[in-house]
Amino acid sequence: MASDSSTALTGLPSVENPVVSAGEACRFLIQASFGPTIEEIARVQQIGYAAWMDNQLAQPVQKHLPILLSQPPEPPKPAPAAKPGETMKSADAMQAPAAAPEPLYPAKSMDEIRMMDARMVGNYYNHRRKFVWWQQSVTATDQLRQRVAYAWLQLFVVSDKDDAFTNFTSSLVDYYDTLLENGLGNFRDLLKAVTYSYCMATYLTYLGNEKADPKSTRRPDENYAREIMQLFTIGLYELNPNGTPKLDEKGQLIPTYNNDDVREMARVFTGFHCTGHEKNWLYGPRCPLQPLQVYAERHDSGEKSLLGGRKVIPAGQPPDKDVEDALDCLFNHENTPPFVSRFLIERFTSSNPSKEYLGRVAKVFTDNGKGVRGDLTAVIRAILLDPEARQVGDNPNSGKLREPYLRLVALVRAFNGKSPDGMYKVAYLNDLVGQEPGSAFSVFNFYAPDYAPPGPIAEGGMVGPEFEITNAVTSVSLPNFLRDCIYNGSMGRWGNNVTLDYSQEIQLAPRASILMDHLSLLLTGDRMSAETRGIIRRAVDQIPETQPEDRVKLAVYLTSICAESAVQP
Amino acid sequence: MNRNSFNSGITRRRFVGQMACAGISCTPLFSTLLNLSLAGRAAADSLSLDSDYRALVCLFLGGGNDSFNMLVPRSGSAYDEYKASRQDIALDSSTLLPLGPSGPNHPELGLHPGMPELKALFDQGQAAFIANVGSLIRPVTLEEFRKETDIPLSLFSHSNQQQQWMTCLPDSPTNTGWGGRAADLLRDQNTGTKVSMSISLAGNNLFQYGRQVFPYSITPNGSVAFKSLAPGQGSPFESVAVKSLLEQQYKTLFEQVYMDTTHSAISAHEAFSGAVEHIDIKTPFPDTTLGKDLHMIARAIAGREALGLKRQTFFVQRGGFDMHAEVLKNQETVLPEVSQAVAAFMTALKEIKVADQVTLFTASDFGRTLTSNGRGSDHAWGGNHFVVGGAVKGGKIYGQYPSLALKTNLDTGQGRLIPTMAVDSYCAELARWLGVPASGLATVFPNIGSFYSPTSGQPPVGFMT
Repeated sequence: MASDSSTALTGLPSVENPVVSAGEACRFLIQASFGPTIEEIARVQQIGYAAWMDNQLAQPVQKHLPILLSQPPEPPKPAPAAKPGETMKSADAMQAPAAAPEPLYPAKSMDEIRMMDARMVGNYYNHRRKFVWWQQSVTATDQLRQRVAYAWLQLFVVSDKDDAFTNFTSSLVDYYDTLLENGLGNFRDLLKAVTYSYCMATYLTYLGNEKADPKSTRRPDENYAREIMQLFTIGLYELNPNGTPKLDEKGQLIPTYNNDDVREMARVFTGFHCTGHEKNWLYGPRCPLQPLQVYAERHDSGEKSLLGGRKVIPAGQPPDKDVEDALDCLFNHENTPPFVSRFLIERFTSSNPSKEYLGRVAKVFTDNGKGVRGDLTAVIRAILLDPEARQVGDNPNSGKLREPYLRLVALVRAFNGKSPDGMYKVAYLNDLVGQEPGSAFSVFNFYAPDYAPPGPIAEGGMVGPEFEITNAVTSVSLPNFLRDCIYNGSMGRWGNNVTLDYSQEIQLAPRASILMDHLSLLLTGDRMSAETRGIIRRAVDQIPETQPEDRVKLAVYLTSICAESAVQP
Repeated sequence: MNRNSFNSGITRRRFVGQMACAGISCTPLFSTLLNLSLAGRAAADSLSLDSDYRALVCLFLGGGNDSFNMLVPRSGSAYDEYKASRQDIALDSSTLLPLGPSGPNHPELGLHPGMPELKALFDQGQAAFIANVGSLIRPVTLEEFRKETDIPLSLFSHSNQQQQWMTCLPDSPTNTGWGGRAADLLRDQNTGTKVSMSISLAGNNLFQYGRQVFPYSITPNGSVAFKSLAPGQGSPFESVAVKSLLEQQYKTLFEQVYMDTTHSAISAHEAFSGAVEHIDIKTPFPDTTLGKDLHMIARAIAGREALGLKRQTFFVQRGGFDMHAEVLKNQETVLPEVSQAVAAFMTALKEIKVADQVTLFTASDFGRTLTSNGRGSDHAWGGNHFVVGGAVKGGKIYGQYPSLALKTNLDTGQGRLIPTMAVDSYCAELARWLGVPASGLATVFPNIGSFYSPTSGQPPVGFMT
């Protein structure tokens, strides 16, 4: 192939013998990363999708917790001033306000830090977790892995809305790292890591869960037992391998479990707690950065019949074996491949995959071609490289509404976002856009996988989950926020915002059509229609060429709010 | 913001709320997706409202309220049964706020100690409690439950039970809620209005989805203005460009629906903010999210004439009721918050002189297990609710308060009680008060015939005047 010379005019580096066009590369990066950048577009064009993915998998895992712990925690509150009429104790009076303590890392290793008393790990307010999230999502080079972890957080939901995490910000960050480490590994390992995590046990209330007490009416907490089935593995209704629901002889959906099954499953998730609770079950030490233990004395080791006898766990096994057996049962259930595949497809490429596409992906989940079930790297590859994901057909129903939060991150990546002081200070945008990672209102995430906005989408038998957070408030406050950020040249509303760099675009500003080509690529995957382009161009052309920055800002703003930016095909 | 370089002389076009029929599909139903105002209504109708305004406020307690710790037997064997079942999570009888004498359908009951404001409303006759309400397809016995005959789909699942409370169709998933279906029938009473009669403080919600009427989302501070179109903000060519983008015909369905949502929001904001912006309510509200939400609802109600609304529903949600881990401490926080916010709301309604015309009612996924898992409780079925308003026949307990002993013929296990009143009956009473005629009740509540005969001339429950 000849070099793609048109790209030289659009402000993108020209690529010799590109494997794919710049537009195709952008569209892929919108799906597979937190948003295209000039460098990544060129890389995808040079080596193609599959090799880009290989390259991504070879990147080191860029965790979030070491970054948090390498930054100073909040200082402890200074001693209170004396009240009128009181003499301050001399010791207090001599105490200077405490400076911020030293960060723990890298002076101590992560292993040492994990063994420390939770209260010594340092007080980080919740927004610090969000700052680190922004830093990594914008700048980390293992973009695919970061993007995959972001998706898993919407299945294995934990949320800072639970007060239990108020003084344990580090645990939520560590949980995200668990999703980063396991997100492209095997689903069975991911499921186990989540199950043994302090965060999930806290959020779904099985931390300290005990077997039934025959003397009182107390019986095990059923929360995790229900949600691990309903939300994390098999869902509510039996599915065919291509994700279509099975129907009984009366044409009705077939539930996968009933309340008895929940009760039985609840017996498995008993005895979970932090290390060090042998002598003090309720008030032993917290271990938010360590996996949980299952204590035999508190665990129900009787025989358990799961899912109506599908798996019978014999009595008297070690507790961890009970848990492994239960996780195996759910992992091996025929619903799990289509259920999880559909979730992932919705997060990456399409709200309404054809059943053939879903079936192809589910098949890879079932067997990656080498006899392995649950190979998530193979599944993500199958999702991103499938023809239905790569080709923009004439199907007017293809694609999906982009998650609004991802549009914000993509904007920052597109304009080379940088922090003025080392922290990417963006947080608490959920009232504007309806979502924020790690801040869902419930374990059901921000939107249901089968939400359909009333009107032609629902009438066409389609779904559009992201429409559930698109309403009269967010559909206006998101463009308003984009406007503020773009005109200010920075993302956020905290102060010391992440700066946006328009220098490249300012060079293109005198020629509006080239500027439009450039922005159409960067922000819409080259999907901008001629009509949209004309509307924006007419507006930009009203600004004199002597004001290139104003031209650029208006062009960026209008492009970032147009429908082609909101929807990915 | 660098706007000095823009020409700030702006001609501002007005959106009227009439949409050009979108290119994808010109069905009337599609245009009503955009239709946060009423299609085809002459905007010039003068609004001659008499005092006949009515509104329902649905306060959804998200997660499943542990309501047998809200409305509690306070004495005698009824209390002993409660205590024996609930053990560590039982309230002390001496702390309960007395709610009057026993009746044929209930023992002596008390209210959770954190809700004195709600008790005061009860004593004034402006609040009532409705006992053991839950989703039913038809009345079922324990035997039928065990055989899974005609029981609601996915009982004990949050998402399904929340939906079933909103749709009143536990036997078949649907995408309209009873509030939306009622709004569809009543919209003719709202002539000339430019915003939806169904207003939500909690975003899109199934309760308010109808076939023609959809929820209009606002914030606790009201509706949101689109900056590019606001006077003194966007330059003329910026606002022209934005309007052109909004009015374009798009090739893909998702693009079209997305832009139409924005377009509708802009029209509705003009009307809503015009009517409500200047309204000031003197009654103080608690500084909680729920307090702010109810304050905004009171302001919106005060603006009803300017909005041309005679019948409305409001939807507001308060989460945090899914108390698997800890019931007693959590209720000490959340129940007072509810009680104080609701009481302030009633006071505000009196201030704007609509106390008899607005009824607030609770809804929740389900009640919770009488037995505990230690300090928490799990998902159950029947639960207790309350209604508040001047039109409520208050100071009474309605429905059949169940025995709270375990292993009764209502106990499906662990103290999950079969409801003794269907959500249909509870909500039909409210819908009827709102103005749904007897002939329309079966449309709004397709299963109502299993519980109540709309032609009987009697109310479904009897707690509304």
